[in-house]
Amino acid sequence: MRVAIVGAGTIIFKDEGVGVYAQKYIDNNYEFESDVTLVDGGVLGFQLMTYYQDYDKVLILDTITMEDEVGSIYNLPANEMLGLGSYKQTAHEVEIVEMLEICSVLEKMAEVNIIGIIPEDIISVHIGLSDKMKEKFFQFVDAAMAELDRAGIKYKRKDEEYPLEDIILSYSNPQSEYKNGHQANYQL
Amino acid sequence: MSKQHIIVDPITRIEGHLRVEAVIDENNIITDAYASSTMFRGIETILKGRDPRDAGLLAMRICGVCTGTHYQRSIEAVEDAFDITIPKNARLVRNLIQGALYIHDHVVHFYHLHGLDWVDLVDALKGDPKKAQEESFKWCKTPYGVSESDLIQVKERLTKFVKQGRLGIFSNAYWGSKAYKLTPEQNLIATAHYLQALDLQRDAAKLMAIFGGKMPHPQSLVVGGVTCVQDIQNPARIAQFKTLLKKFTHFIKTAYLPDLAMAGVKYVDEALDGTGAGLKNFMTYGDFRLDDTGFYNSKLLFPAGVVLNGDLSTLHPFDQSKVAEDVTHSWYTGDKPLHPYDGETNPNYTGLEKKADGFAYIKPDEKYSWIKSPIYDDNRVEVGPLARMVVGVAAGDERITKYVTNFLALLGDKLGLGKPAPTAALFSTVGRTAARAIETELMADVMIEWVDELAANVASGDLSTWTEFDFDKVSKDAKGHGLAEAPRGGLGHWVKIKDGKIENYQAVVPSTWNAAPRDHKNRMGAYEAALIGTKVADVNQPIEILKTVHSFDPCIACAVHIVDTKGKELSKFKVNTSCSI
Repeated sequence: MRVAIVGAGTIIFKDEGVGVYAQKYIDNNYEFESDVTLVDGGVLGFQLMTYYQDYDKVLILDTITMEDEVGSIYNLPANEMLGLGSYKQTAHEVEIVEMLEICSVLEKMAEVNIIGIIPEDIISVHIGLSDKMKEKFFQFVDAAMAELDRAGIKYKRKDEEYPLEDIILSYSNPQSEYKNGHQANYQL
Repeated sequence: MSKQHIIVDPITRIEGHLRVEAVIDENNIITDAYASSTMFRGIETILKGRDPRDAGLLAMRICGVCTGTHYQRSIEAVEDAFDITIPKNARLVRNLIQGALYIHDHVVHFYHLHGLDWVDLVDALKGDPKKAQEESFKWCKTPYGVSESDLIQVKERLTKFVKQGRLGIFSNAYWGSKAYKLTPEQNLIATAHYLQALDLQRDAAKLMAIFGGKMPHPQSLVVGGVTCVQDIQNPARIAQFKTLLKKFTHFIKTAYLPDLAMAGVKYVDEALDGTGAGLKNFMTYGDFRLDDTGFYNSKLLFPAGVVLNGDLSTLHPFDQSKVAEDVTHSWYTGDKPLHPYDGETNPNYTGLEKKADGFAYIKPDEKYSWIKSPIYDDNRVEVGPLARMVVGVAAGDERITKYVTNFLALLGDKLGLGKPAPTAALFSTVGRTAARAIETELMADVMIEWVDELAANVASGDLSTWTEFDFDKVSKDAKGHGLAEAPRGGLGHWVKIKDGKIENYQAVVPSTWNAAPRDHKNRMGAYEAALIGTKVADVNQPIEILKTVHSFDPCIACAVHIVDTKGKELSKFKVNTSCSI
């Protein structure tokens, strides 16, 4: 079973980056025995179609809107979302769902779950998370891992934790390692 | 005189959101239109004070479709500021990454985001596979994947979905509308290609990743050049790129272009009467450098320039200092149009007007959009594939003129005109959609040349991928711009650098030019202007509005990405977490 875990969201709008951080956290803190690909999807659009088509199971980690309190976490099967990304006169566009709808006419489409969390602040232009998101972050990661358990995916935690703070830092201050020219000692 | 308002919200089939409010008269003709939308904001705040060599890594977070375009623009703005000319290999690699984005974006746009405005999927179920196969030969000598047996399978597949209630795309358009003009067989052909394009688009996505390292958010560009050193020296990678490109090009030539011609003939009246033409002012920044004389000096695949009032006999040169942004009708404070170097972004939201019918309406005399109104030399202009083709023809560019002429000749032939279809037919919604297809074929062909050029250059012993520069020296006090063409049109990033740090940064995205509201002189933006005069057959199915707006390939991605459950009852899917106080 080929699994893709896609973190989606715009990291420069504070809590919107939570999905991207979560996939990176899983990538840095877990080892998988089977074929699991971690994807920094960021603000991906069409590329989602490729994941829906190329993998057997896809988890999308993202923020969601819902009449519930901030920090509530949901595991939404794709089928529940179909029909929402529609052409109708609604207040919002749901590209992730839109892509699901387009792909639903394929012979073979991945089993997709959206692991969603209700954000507190997606308006501020800031790279980082609100306190509430930080508090719920590990439960959000656990919800994704629980979905993997259900699918029988084996993994283990690495001995040393790569902390959330460091992950946020790596995104808030991305440094091009090639600033001063490419490294010449590569192997062909 | 009764005036009725139609609100379409959201209008894109992807990314961000946009609402259009159209006012129609008693004959259902649109007399007024207002485009209101969300735009990305805040990149300048995030980038201020940073090392300019790192800016690209964050600028690419503006959007997920053109992520690589923003990345490249940002890096080239800094290269322009530092006066760096990148090596030939780097130029070719960047052209190839960008070209791959074009062909991917355009094909997906036509079939999956815009096609259903022209093609009636449900009607395709009535199509006769044998007749459809015969039909397909009218449009192409070697039609792609639409033999009788192929089409029988497509129909079975569609029927199965409808029976299973897996309605996805079937449930949310205006099937059966009189606005659809293709025959059931033609709808069946286009539907088959819709499904095949879904599979094939993965190849085009791989093309972007081969030299980009990953998609979305590629990683292989740096100020001074590119980092995919191993890939360009590896014949297997080059061969892989070429194989995938050829496969995709085959689809472009034997499915996309023929389908476009087929639709062009059926909808030709809408092209000839200029439905959706809009401003008829076109602007291109120009893009895809064809030699190594440096930014803004090289010969370009798409020339830069401006065409006004649809007059192809006069090409006005493009001058970046004449770009300005106005906020009269945008939710920002500001009192005059400003050049992006001096741009400001100070939000000032004044809301919509709630009316008795429960809908919120924009206040047309006040501010009504998050998008600023860009102006070029005191003109409102359209950007995008149509602008590139029009400017190319006006500039007398041989390659562009050839591709445009060929398509018009094909259309004229199929219409039985005995001569090419008139160039003016391009000034329409249909023409805008055709221009995108023409450009796709041109791009696919030229990319093959670039791959060969890259391979030959590496084989000749030139392995250079990066131009050295003395950062401390060049970054004391500099400013530069990265101006080029994203698939959706002219995209500009402007940067000011002081003592090695970014002092000011502005990005003006293509959809800003096209989706903008009115300006300080109350002149309309491109979407707004394109809707005026259009007749809406059925106000409950405003497909004509969607068609025209979609023809611009709207992408207001620069907004918020969140999964909206729209109030659906989903509480049983809540993950129970233990309290962690």
